[in-house]
Amino acid sequence: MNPRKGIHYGKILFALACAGYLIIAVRLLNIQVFQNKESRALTETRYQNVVENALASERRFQPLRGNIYSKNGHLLATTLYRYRIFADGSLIEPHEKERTLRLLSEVAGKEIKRISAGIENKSRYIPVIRRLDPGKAESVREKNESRGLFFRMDDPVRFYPSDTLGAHVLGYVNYAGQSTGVEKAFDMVLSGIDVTDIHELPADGADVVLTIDTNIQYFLEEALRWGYEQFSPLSVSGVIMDPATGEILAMGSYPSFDPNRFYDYAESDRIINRAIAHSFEPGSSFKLVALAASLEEKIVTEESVIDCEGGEINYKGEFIRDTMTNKKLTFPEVFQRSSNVGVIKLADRLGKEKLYYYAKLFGFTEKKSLELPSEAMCRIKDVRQWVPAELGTFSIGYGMSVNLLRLTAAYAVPANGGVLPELHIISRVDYPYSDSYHIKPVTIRRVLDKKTAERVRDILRSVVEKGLQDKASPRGVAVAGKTGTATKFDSVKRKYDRKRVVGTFVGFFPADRPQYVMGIMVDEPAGGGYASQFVVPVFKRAAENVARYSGL
Amino acid sequence: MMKRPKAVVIDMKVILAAFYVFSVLAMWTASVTPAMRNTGNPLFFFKRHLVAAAVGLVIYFLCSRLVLKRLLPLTPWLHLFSLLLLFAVFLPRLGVEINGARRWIDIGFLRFQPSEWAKLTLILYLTASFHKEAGGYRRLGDHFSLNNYPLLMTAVTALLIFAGNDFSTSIVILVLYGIIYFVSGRNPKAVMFWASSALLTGLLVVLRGGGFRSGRLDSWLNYLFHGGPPAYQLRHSIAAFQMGGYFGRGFGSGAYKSLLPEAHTDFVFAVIGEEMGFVFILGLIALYLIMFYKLIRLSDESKHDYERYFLLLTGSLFAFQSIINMGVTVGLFPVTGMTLPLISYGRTSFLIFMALLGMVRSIEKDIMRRIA
Repeated sequence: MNPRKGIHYGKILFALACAGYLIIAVRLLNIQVFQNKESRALTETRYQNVVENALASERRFQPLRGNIYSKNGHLLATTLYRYRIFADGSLIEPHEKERTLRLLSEVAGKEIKRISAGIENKSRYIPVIRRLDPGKAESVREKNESRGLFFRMDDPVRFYPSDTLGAHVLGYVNYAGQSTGVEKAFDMVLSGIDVTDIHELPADGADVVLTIDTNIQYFLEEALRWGYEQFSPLSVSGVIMDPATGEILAMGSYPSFDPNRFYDYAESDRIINRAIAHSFEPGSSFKLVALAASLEEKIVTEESVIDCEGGEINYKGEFIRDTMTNKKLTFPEVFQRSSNVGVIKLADRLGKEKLYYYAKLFGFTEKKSLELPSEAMCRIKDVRQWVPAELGTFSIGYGMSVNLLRLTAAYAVPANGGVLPELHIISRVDYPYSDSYHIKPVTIRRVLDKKTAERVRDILRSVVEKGLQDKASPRGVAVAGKTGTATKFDSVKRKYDRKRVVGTFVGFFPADRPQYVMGIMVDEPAGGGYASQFVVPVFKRAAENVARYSGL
Repeated sequence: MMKRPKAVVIDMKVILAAFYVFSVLAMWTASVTPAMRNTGNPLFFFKRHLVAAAVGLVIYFLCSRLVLKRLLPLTPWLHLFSLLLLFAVFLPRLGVEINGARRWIDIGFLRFQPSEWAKLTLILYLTASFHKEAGGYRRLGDHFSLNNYPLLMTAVTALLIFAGNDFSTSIVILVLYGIIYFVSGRNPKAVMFWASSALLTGLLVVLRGGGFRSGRLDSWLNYLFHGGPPAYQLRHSIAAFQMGGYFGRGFGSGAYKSLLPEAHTDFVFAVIGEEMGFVFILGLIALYLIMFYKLIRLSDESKHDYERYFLLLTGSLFAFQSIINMGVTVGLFPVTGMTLPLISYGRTSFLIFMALLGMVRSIEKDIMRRIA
């Protein structure tokens, strides 16, 4: 109370303080109570790894690299912190030097000479060991008696909890920050923004959620591995996708690698994702284009009969034969028996522009199908440069090359009612400070009329049923698809080598309401043979598990 | 016989006991990670805080026996001494630089912050000089003449602290002058005018001045008004509060506290918020309000100007410093290095507040004697 003027200064100050506390209380009410629920929902999934990651580190100005999750919520890639040991030469007493060197050499597993000179010179900062396991680092810390050794748990290491699962999709990040696979394709969003000024803030990287389902991925990889052991080829690759959305559900190749130990594979070709980075002549599985084009252009019906001339034809100077003697076949039978002569006759009636146009519609001339790097482009010659006989060889899948992913995507067209979906490998990006970005399915173009697509589907179904005697179908689930066996071109001898073959089978199931399209490629099996012998069993093995998993 | 009242509002001992309990428990949970990080001994800060708390009790007891009136003539010399100490921060052997700020003096067995000490002596000095000159300086012109030693001293103090890279404390010093000028009843309109213009100039200087301060302020303004990302510490502080909810995650089970670089000093409030929750935080705020209310009631009871000045200055420092600290943790103020009075680790600050409250107690005893 102020006796002079009757102003209660104390009360004014008290009112000010009350106002201040009230503002803080309201703000806290807002943060703690109203934002609370929201943060709970956010935290249970993010909290665990984000907080624990940051707990383990003394990270201040480095952004945290985002995690990679599978569609079904499994953590596929994250960043852990390991120990970094460095020494301060001026703090290591001369009598401690020998002991310290011995201790460090022991844990490093090799003689550390480099730091000896640094200790002599009393250098203030000598890096000793990087990315050391916490257990080892703790044991060194316990045994260490010198003041001059420092332990910091702030050395980031990329960690892939499921080891080899999905390795080709994920890729890896090496210590220099170079990467492959999804790690490379989405490096921009994953890595966040680094800062150099300590008063600025690093922006953490976003989490990437893939379209890969780890279960389906496992079934695929298990089948690929089985196929590799069974037929001992150079490699076995496979892709499984959802025909309706273009989502890649699984993709892989065997032999595979462990991205946690990427340094062991520096000279190895195992890190190549052969499902996209390997291009080959598809052979008969490419006959899909001629099949669909013939129906869409209405040059044939299912009842048409094509004379296959006993299985041999001299088409404009190129002598081509079937694998069995075929006389007069109906249109579906041409594909059931995979008659080259029949398909060439159909292609001749279509004309080269039409055939090329349909190959283009099916997406075989696209430069890139997926966000992933190092995709081998499909090599298809422009129709204006074709020599006359190329119409025939093109229609049966020779004189060009495709990659397995492209070929599989083409089979999504009859499976989903005639449209070509845009392929993608990620379904969502979760940004730390803004809304998640959902990738929506996009249709690139309509390739076939819906009716035509259904007819193509039925014919492909009959190919598996009659041509393969249902060897590709798991119990109770009908598969539609087409095999392809192509002999390899020997570039030294300048001719096709009959012993070296690459086999493919692309199919979808269930045939009446397709949910999965799967493409399998087996490269050069030891015994040779036909795709129906060495690819279809691999397909069936994976399809059986997938069908059981999805309750078909 | 009627029982003689011993205190106004609530006994100081009770309030202090509550603060002690909160402070020790808060340190017990909040200081472990920073202590591990800095020294490797998880109880390093906690043990030191316990020692400071014990010494604080002794200081409180000693100060409660002081007779403030006898101390007043000495205050200019006391404050000159703290100016010397503030200057000593810049001497190469004595001064210690931490995180780019020169705020500490190291004399072997003891390291302390002269700016905290200066807050104490300045409060005493301002109390004494305004008491002595009651009724003087009616016009603004007089106020800025060189004969006005209190303002000169305050300005020099603020400048020295500012030179040690402690912007917020120098502002607090100036505000203390503004408060006593206001409370002493001279020309309140002028106070408002000068205070608001000083605030605006300060803001402009900081915003245009560049450097880390402007960076901090920019990021804070961006966060508060444009919904940008909060600064590193603030991000975790707010996340900590969000985890807390009504009743907290439970004592000792907070996770975000480990992410706060200054969990035991500047951001202890966030740790309490995460572990104990909103309801408990309201209780803590009430405790600060009770303390301030007690000092104001005391000042109402007091018959002497110097007592009034001292009580109001001490109370304001106590309340507004706590408001600033809490405001920082919830993102209402840009990040500054202000402790939460009587809770945070920061031994100089803790002891200074205990000394101030000890003197408050001595005034209280005096008032009780008069009432009785």
